This record gives sequence, C-alpha cells and structure tokens, in this order.
Amino acid sequence: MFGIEDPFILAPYLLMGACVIFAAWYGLKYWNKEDKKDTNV
Amino acid sequence: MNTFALGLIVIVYLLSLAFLGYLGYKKTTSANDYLVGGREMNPFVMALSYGATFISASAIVGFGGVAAAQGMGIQWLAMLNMLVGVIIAFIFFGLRTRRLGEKYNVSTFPALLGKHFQSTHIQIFVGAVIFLGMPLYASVVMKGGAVFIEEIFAVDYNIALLIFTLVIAAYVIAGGIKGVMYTDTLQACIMFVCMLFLLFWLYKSLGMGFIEANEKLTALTTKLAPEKFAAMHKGGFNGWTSMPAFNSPQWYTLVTTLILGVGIGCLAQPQLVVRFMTVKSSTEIRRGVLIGCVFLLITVGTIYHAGALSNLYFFQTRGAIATDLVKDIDKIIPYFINQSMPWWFTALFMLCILSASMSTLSSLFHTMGSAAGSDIYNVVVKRPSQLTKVIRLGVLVSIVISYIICYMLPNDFIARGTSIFMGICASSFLPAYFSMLYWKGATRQGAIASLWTGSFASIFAMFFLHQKEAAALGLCKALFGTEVLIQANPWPMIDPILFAFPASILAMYIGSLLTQKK
Repeated sequence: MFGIEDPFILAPYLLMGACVIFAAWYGLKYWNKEDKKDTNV
Repeated sequence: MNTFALGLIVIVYLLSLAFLGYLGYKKTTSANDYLVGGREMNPFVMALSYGATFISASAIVGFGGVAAAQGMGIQWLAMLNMLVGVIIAFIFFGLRTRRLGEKYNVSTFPALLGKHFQSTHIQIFVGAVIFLGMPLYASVVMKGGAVFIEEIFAVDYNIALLIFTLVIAAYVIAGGIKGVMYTDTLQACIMFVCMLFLLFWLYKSLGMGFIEANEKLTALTTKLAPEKFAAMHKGGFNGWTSMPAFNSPQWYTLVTTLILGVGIGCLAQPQLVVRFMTVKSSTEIRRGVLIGCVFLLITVGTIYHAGALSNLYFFQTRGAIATDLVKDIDKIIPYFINQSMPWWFTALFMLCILSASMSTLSSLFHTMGSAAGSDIYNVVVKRPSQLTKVIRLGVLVSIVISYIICYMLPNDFIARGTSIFMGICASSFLPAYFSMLYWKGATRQGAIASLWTGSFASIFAMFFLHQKEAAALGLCKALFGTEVLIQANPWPMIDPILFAFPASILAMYIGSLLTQKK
C-alpha cells in the first residue's frame, strides 16, 4: 500500500491522517463553544 | 547562491523579528505580561507558538538526518508528536492546566506544581532542574541552527553561533513571552510554507509521485553493494521503508530513545506547558488542536519523509546514498537542501531552520529565565518588585551557559541531546504533573518522591546504564572499570527513560499512598 510494504512503517502514516481527521472534527465541533468549567474556577 | 538576495532576505527577516520583539516589549507592563502574556493570547498565536517551540532545528536537522540514515521508522515520532504532543497534550493536559493556572494565579510550570502541592520545595526543585537541565537542550538547538548557517553561508561556525545567539537574546530579554510568541508565530508560518514547498520540489526533482518514490526507495537497498548493505544491516538496518530489525542497536535507539523519549517527553515540557496558561479560556485551547495538528503534520511529517527520500535523490544524481556523501548525520539535511533545491529556496529554507531554532530557543531561554528569577530567586529572596529585572537577568545567564555548552557538544549529538532532555522532563515531571491534574489522592510527599526519583534515576541511568552516555561520560569506567554496570544485552541499549519513568510513577504512587490522610 502506498509503495510501503512494512506495516510498521505504513501505520504511522495512516495514524497521522487519523490524527488530522480527529483534530478537524474536535476543533470545529468546539470552535465557538464556551466551557462551563471555565466559570467554575 | 546569490549573496545579495540572501542578505536581503535575512535583513527583512531580522527587521520583522525586531518589530515583533518591540511589539512584545511595548505590550509588556507587568511580570504577569512577561511570563504568561496577561493570559490573553490569540488561539492561533498560542497554537503556532506551541508548534514552533515544539519543533526545533533538532527536529528538522537532527531527526531529518536520522530519517536519511535509518529510514521512515522515525515517522512514528511524527505521529506521536501529533497524537501525544498536540491531541493528548491540549485536550487532556492543556484544558486543566489553564484552569488550574488561573485558579492559583501562577505563571510558570514550577509555580503551578508548587502551588498545587503547597510546597516551595517542589517549586524550587522543578525550577532548578529546568535551569540546570535545559541548557543541554538549548545548546543542542543552538548547534542545529549554527551548523545550518555554517553550511549555507559558508561562514565560520563561531561567528554564526554568536550572531544567532545575540539576535535571540535581544528579543527574549526585551519582549518577554509576548515577544517570544509573536516571533514564534511568524517563524511557524515560515516553517509551514517552506515545508510545503520542499515536499513539492522534492517530488518534482525525483520526477515521480508518492507511491513510485516509496517503491524505488524500497528497491534501493538491492542496488547497494552487498558488503555495504551487510555493514548497515549489522546495526539493524532493513531498508528505508522498513523498521530496523527487532532487538538490534538501531531498533533500541529508534524506539526507546527517539520515539518514546521525545514522544512521551513532550507532555511535560515546561516551555510548552506554559503556553496553555497564556490564553483566556478553554475555547482557545480547543481551537488550537486543529491548528497544532496540521502544523506538525506538514513540518515534521515532511522533513522525516524527505530525509528518507534524500537517499533516492542522491542515488539518482550522485550514485551514492546520503551517509556516503555526508558522514555527520546532523549535516545531511542542510547538504540535501543545498544540493537539491533552487538557490532562492535554499535561502528561504535557511530562514525555516533559523525560525525553528529561534522559536524553540527563545522559549527555552524564557523558561530558564523564569525558573531562575520567578521560581528560585523570588521564592528564596522574596522581592517581587524586582521580578521582571531578575527574570531578564536569568534569561541572560541561561543564554551564556547554553552558549558555553554548545562548544562542548560532540558530533551526531543533536537528535540524542533532544531525546535526553525530553526523557529527563518526562521522568522527573510527568507523574507529578499528571497526578496534579487527575489524581485527588496525590500528596506533596508523593510528588517530591517522584520528582527526586525521576531526576536521580535519569542521571544514574545516563552515567551507569546507557552505553552511549555512560561510555562518553566515563564515570562508570573510572569507578567500576566497566563502561556500564549491566553489560548483558539489551540493557546497555535501553534509554534511561525506560528505567526512570516507571520508577518515578512508582514513587508517586507509593509515596502518596503512604502519606494520604484517612
């Protein structure tokens, strides 16, 4: 896959993609949300 | 290279830094401004500053060179940088750190731990570890920047190092964290753009796409002379698109030192933790997750990939692999850029390396100065009216110490030096830091035991157990007549973090259980 045969080399590439997808989902979901815990400090 | 254009680019860059440093200086009116930017920094500035501080010239020059020598296994580090260094750090550590920092009204990492565990001992101890241990990392980053300037400008290393240091000193001392973070943001943008172009031009030079280049890099090992490959394989090398052989020296270095040391160590880096305290709410930190992740993907992901592929480029153009052409792996990336990229990009890339070095160094100097001034001097002497002055003096002293250490560093040490520092941070600080955020049963005594155990075990393992440092330091040989205390494999190859970090966790746990009030 992608010209890389060793799954232990391929894995970090795929996981990096997964990290970006998660970060995009998380970042956009909470972009304008205020955290109630901030007011309880 | 066109000297005039290069000079012009550097002058514009330095003027921009001077302006941003001045902006930081003008907006700094109190010690709180100097230390945490008045807790009102923009999320883009915070996340990009975090990323630029995280990614030093060590990551680009040092680890990029490791990728050229050992292959794409180092991409695990890029992945951990994103997963642990941004996602876990921001979501599971950053949000709580920011709230606690505001609650305790503290501005430094040692003060945060000290205040939470109600112990000036902890604050001073953590400050001292930072002030004494961080110069090693700072000197490694300085070397990375100076080596690159030496290679590109063909100027004397000593002159490169001196000018480089003076410029950073000027804006850190004057502008405080605001000056540091504003300049970091500019530097992060330069790094981001340069890495994107590097990736584009690399494939253009190779004349092929992602998959074909990977396939050809895989096949490159078959084109090496058999005795050459046998010599490389002896250390564990299996090819640039394969992990090193399990249990081999290269595997232990890659996995235990570089990947685990840096991958986990990044969680307890005081210069990164303080970034979470510079924003006014959790929303800024949450926004920063995406910004930080994309930044790291493009910067470290690209340079490690390009480092490995540099072998393909050199084989196509010179009939040799990177380590044949450049013996010092710290110089492979500068050499590769100089040989493969257009002249104007070489100049721009120099700014990228300078930016990576300067953004990390400025934060390290600021953190060391804060530790010396705010966490040691101010706690011992208690003269808050002089705090900003004392911190500035601490910054100056830390710069001088790092500068001196830089002259004592051996070759091929950039990546290792980074790992050593991050390993010490993880072993010493992480269990206490994590317990502060998540364990109500954690006690002051447990935290003290963990801090001392982690620090002592790291130093002990470096002097007596881990072959590379123990052999170079020579104390074990002088005392016991052998380079390391345990010679049976794999113990001499296992990084100190694998001894010290569990010991520190254990000390935190047992110490807290024994001293909890019922």
